[in-house]
Amino acid sequence: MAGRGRFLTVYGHYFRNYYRSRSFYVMLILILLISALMTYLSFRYSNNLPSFLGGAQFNNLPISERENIFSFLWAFVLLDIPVFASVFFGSPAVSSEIENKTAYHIFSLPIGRYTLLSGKYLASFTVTLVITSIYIGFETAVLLVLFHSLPSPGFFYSYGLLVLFILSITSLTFLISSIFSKNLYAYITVFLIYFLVFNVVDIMMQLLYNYNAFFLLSNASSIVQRVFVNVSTGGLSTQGSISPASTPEIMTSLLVMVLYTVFGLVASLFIFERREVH
Amino acid sequence: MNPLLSKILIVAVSTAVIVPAGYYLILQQSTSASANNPFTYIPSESQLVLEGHMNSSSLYLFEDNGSIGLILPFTISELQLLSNTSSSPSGQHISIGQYSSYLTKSIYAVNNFSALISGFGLRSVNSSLISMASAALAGTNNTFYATDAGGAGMVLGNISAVKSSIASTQSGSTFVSSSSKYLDGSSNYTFYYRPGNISQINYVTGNISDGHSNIYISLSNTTSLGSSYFVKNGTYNVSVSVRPGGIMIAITGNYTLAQLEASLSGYLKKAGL
Repeated sequence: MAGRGRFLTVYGHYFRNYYRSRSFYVMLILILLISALMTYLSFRYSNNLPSFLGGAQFNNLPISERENIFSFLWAFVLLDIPVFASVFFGSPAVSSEIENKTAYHIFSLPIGRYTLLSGKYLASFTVTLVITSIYIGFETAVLLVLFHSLPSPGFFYSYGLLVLFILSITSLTFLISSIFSKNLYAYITVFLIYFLVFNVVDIMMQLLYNYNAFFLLSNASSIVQRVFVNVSTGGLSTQGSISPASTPEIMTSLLVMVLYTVFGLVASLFIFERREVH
Repeated sequence: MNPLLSKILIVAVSTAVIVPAGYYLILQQSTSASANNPFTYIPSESQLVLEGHMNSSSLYLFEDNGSIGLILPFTISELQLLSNTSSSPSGQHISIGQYSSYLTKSIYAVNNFSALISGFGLRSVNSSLISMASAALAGTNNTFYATDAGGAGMVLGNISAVKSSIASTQSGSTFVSSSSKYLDGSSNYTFYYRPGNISQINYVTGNISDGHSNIYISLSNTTSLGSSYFVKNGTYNVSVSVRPGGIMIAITGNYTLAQLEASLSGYLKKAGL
């Protein structure tokens, strides 16, 4: 079988494994629930937007800006979903093979380890994208009904950046998964790094040095919402602007996510190649 | 494929992505650090530079050849948006429109800027800073001019101040290096003043905060004028140190900015200023 054929077989196999897994159905139920709640919120809240912004003077807000603010609210809720999905799908990617001793069988197959890991990575990325796209589908329908217009260009930027964020967080989870031999450690470590370590570093940099830690994945991912309204909802900073993030800010976040994606994936490939089953 | 060849290929491709991306990121950061610094938009030869902080809002004021300009922490597009939505208690709307361009940068004309006082809700721009900005610019007419100031927000002021800000930013002749020398950003208000018509004084700097303020007057004559003395005034203490080449006035005590402002304006009234 040619290299590409082997890769597609591995990808197809793991993709089926993922979408038949219990994790997929848990995420699917959660995303449907969250989407339904956001739909309810959007229709109930659509007339209360001026009070959210600060008063009656925002009654005459242009439709495009109202749409931006709703997209911002939807993106705010969306931001943590890829983290949970990639932890569910990516964290056990390598560690579970070692822990359950399935690596004995997989490693003896006539398939290179790079092909195995990259096929699994792409399958994990695809299921996470499917989960988040369901939410995006709900969002598009709601915005279409509320504002009678097709999504703004910012919506497509946000979606593109979301895809990149999924790639980068999946890379990070694969890297951590390739280090550990136990599933639980991989799960906990990703959560600790993303929600605790990144937050502590961010707060420390802001308080001690008044410095925006742009290099943290959690900060870079906020661009998914900041392309609508440039207010960061994480950290301590209260600064922001009702305007969308500027092109240099988008470029910075994009490059940070590219670096996480490439570094995480390459490092996990090399670690996985040297893994032994004890 | 040969495993070694695969490894070499992966390293080569990842290096080809990581190195230019990292380089571009560093470049981007240094450019935006400069674009986000408000002093990048203040001409180096300004006679007066004032930095004010209030409840996480900041305002930067400069005077260049008698023209006043402000660096405000919101963008032209925000102002355009607010021109459609906000109005002052008197019902006036701010309006903003393209005026001209200077050295390839667009200049906008802004009318009824004071209407902005009641306009901001989403972000924490202190309304008293907006009032201060309006008061500083109040004068001949109700039209001001504005230009984009990158991550720092916008420059707003008289047309000549806006043009001199654009020219200084493009020539690199800005107040950035002087800001760390003369201004203390941790004070509520900090200023630098260079009086052109008093030959005995080089410059005056001041840092004003609740409970602690100081003013330094740099003299062109380095001869000592006398010794230090100390004044106690019920609520606060004033100490004046006279040194060769400068006078340092420090005010300490249990006072608030409002009390200090009231005392200062009282003294200024008595002095007929």
